[in-house]
Amino acid sequence: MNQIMLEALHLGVAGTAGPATFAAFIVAVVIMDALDVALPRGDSVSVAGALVAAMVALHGVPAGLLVATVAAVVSLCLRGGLAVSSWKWAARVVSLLGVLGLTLVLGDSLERLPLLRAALAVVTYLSLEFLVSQTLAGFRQSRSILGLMKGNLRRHFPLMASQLSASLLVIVTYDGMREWSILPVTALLLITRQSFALLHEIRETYRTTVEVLIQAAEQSDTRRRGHAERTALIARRIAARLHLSAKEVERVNFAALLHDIGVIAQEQADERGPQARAHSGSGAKVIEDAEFFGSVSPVLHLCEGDVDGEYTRDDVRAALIVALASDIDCLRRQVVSLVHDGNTVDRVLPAASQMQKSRVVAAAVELGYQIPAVW
Amino acid sequence: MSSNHQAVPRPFLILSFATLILGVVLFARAWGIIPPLVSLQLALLIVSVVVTENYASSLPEFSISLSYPLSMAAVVIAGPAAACIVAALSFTNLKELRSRRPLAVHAYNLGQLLVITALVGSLYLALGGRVLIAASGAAEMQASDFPGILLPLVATAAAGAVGNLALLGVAASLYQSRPLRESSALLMSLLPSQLALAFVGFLIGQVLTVNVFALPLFVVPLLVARQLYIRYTTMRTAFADTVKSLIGALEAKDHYTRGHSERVAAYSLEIGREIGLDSRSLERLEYAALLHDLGKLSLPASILRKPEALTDDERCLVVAHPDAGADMVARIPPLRDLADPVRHHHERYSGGGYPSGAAASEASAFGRILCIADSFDAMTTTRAYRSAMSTEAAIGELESGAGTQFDPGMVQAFVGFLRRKAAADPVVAESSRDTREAVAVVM
Repeated sequence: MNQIMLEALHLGVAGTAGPATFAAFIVAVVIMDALDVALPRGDSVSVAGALVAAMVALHGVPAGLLVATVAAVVSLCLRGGLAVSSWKWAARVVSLLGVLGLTLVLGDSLERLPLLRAALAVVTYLSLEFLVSQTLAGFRQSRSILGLMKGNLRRHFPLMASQLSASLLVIVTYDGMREWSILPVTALLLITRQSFALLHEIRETYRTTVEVLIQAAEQSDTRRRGHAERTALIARRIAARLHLSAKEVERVNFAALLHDIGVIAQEQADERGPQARAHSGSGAKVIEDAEFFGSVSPVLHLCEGDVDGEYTRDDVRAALIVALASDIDCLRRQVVSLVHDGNTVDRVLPAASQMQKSRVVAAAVELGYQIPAVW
Repeated sequence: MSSNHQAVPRPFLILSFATLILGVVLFARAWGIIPPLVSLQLALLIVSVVVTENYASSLPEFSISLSYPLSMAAVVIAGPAAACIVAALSFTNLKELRSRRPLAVHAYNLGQLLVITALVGSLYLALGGRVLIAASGAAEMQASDFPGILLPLVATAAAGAVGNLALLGVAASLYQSRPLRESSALLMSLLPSQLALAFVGFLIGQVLTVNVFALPLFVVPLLVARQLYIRYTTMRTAFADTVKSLIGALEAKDHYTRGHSERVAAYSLEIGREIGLDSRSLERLEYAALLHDLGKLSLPASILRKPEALTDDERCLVVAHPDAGADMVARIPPLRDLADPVRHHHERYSGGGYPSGAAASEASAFGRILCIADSFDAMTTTRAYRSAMSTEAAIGELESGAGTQFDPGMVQAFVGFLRRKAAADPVVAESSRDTREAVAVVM
């Protein structure tokens, strides 16, 4: 057992690392960690895992542990943030232990295929790092770990795939270039990081814009507070229950969040009398010039009773989901129904078929929601 | 470089064919230095460039090709002439070839690629770089080559990135007849990624020399790089969408506010031009002006339209609207730098305005510009509670408030513009005031 453990600890394909190698990897990891992409709720994403994984594959688990630990200490000294550094370090240590376990399982097999062995180590490390970091994030934020993983796996997959490529490229070029192979690979990781950061910023831009619009709509009447978000939560669940694509679920989500922003215009209409009111509270008009919300606009038109336009089946289904979600929230919170302009279903139904309506209602029933009588 | 413009300005025509001729000459010279050696690695690069070129991503004004790192790889593998061949093959983008772009644009694109590739390839060799695949065999970069080889690598990367973007910028400004600095803002934002891509290219060259079967490892990273450029465009669209949505909300709330914001934006831009702001600052100033009254979304419409004097409670709400608007803007990442001007647009130059009573030293320059533009429009439009002033009377008010309510330098700049405009076309100047009155009344 001791011999196996010793061999496991020296998994690496490149033998023992020199001080220059350690220094290069540590500096690169510190730089990548300094450039991590900050996410909401205090979370962050770093691409440095690729370098730690490469170190493990080349020089073994102890070398990887040393790099991860020293980099964490240096980052802490330079930037502070004990909690963030600790969580990151913990995720890396657990991942390294996982790689150690892999080594014990593999034993002597694949000894003649060092690159494959190294690749397995990298895949194991990166996968475990993702799993562990999501688990830790779920605990810290008191959120469902499975839900978090499911949502983030799709978003993080290109990041992880790129990190896997980067690690393997270090391994391929290490024989000749030694620690200098980190230099071009770091450039590659920086491109990956920047791409992810831009994606995150785009999502944050739209999310915060929607929040500001909702705030503007709900400010006029405190009874509306929270209705948009609750409606969106119910709508997302119904959409997921109906096995809609991720893109469609997102569209339903935005439509649900924005379905009442037409009230921004409502005060003007009230002054002009009830005749004007029916035509003016148009949330779709607020967002009609925004390209990103282009797919949401037809759903809002339907929710506002404009059934004469040209709509696809998906538009109508999305509108039914939003309408039902809104009416469910009104049923649960009578105070909201007092300010809500009638049942949304009355506006959407003329465009929908009985089968569409039945499917949406069935999904809500399966989720345990009480369905308003009018449905 | 690509564009949908059909008419070709003469300066661009001359530039494009001169660049093409220069590119061919430099290519011939590079061939004389190191003739390309036929190798599996070069063949793979050629195939790769044809494939990647047909997945080029388009920005509004330009197309960005991922063949750039492949031509950098060709520089280190086989020298500048081979790299020119690889770069020229990026012309196999079927979409580009089928597009009805003028021949001059295609000529320029090809010429630019040849010029840059030949020059950076020659620079690489001149600074001590070596080709990895020679007639004597393949010899990948070794640790012993470092750090010496860093100089040619870094210099090549820098020269390639800067040269590429510079030529692109010059051509775009000549072709679209607009100032160079307008194109350069977008291009400069691409410089870091172009530098990084050059190093990725060197890595491709090294990997091909070591193990050709490892080439597929670059598929995902290059796809990610392509995504990066697409996301640059999407980010600009996201920004524009955000502003449009917020303006849409303002319009829904109060029609006067939208028209007012547009006029304030126009006046602010004139002040900005007079005091010499660059194009990027003017763009930010315009958005700040369009959104300066966003805080009014938090006010009941009854207050916005009230013809009589406001009560104390109502006044408190109105006084809070700059802060409310600034808080909304600060929540949206690309608009965060606009929060200060939105917050300060009712501050007085000497202090004592609202919401915080900040003086000029604490208020942002944009905020002081907005203050002038906002006040001028308020004075020259008819509201429910008073008629519009004439332009001259409003100018008088601005001048009497210079140094106390308004920044004196900016007032001088704006008044100078107004007087020149009135002198140039007094009828138009007067009728536009009437239009503002009519529009404001109807709204």
